[in-house]
Amino acid sequence: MTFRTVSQWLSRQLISAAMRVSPCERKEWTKAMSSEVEEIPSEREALWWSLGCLQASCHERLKSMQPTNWWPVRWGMALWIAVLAVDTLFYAAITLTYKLGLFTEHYPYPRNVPLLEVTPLWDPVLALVSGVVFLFAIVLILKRSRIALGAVVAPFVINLLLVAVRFSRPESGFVQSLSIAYQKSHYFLIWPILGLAITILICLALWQDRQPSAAR
Amino acid sequence: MTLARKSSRQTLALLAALMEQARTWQHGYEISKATGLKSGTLYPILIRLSDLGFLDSRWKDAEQPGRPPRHVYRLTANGLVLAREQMQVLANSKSDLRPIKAGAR
Repeated sequence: MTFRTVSQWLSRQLISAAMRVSPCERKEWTKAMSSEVEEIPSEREALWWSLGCLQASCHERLKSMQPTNWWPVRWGMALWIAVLAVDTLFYAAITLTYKLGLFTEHYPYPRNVPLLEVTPLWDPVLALVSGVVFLFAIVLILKRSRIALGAVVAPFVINLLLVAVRFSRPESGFVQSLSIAYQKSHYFLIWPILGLAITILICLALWQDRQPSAAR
Repeated sequence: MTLARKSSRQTLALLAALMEQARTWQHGYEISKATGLKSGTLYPILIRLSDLGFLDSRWKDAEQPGRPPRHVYRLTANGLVLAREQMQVLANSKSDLRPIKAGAR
């Protein structure tokens, strides 16, 4: 078996794989790429060309499989943002009600009172705004709006800033509560890191979704 | 239809090659030779330009009998405008396309 025979066989296999991988709407292009192989004088070059065909077909297949086009992914993203919205709004509600003096007699979370005392009013107000924008983001994600990314990133950044502020203020008791949780279970950090990672992934998916398909 | 403000070096090399022979229909292999782009890079760009209406394509019968017809390409009027714009951007940025051509296989 000569190099020429092996190379031609391999080239045919690659082209055939490229045809299989290629999405329906790009079959003509894959055919166009594969027809060029016949015109390439060098076997080695033809082999590289065929490999490129497969690469281009995979590229087109991946592009056509944009995960955000798939409704379960979109609903999953919306569900996660809803969790963030509820969490943020819950925090804003319990803090604001205390700050506004609505629950001074029978406040349901007496353990949090020292923390609430040192929390400035702008903190829950910002959290409230952030939660509302998260709710708005859910609608935008489901409607596939291009501004959905902004509606997720803005409250996400606000929440991160609020966490950073709490970290920087020892009287807030935030660092102590984290260290207590860490002592109870060393694995507790997995949850905030996972939450952060999921939100960043959603932001990336939305960013990719709004990219114009202009010549790049 | 939006024109990209700044195209990648590969797209620029392709636009330059197509603009050089704006009236001629060119084969993929021919363009690959002229630009130094491999098929795996060249065709996704050709597809994108075609989707955006910057590139015309058609099938042309092979010159030698028994061979399959070949796909040929040339810039549309909009494509030519884009190419000129991008070459202007390239000229202003004082860079060139030589590294891509040097990397031709």
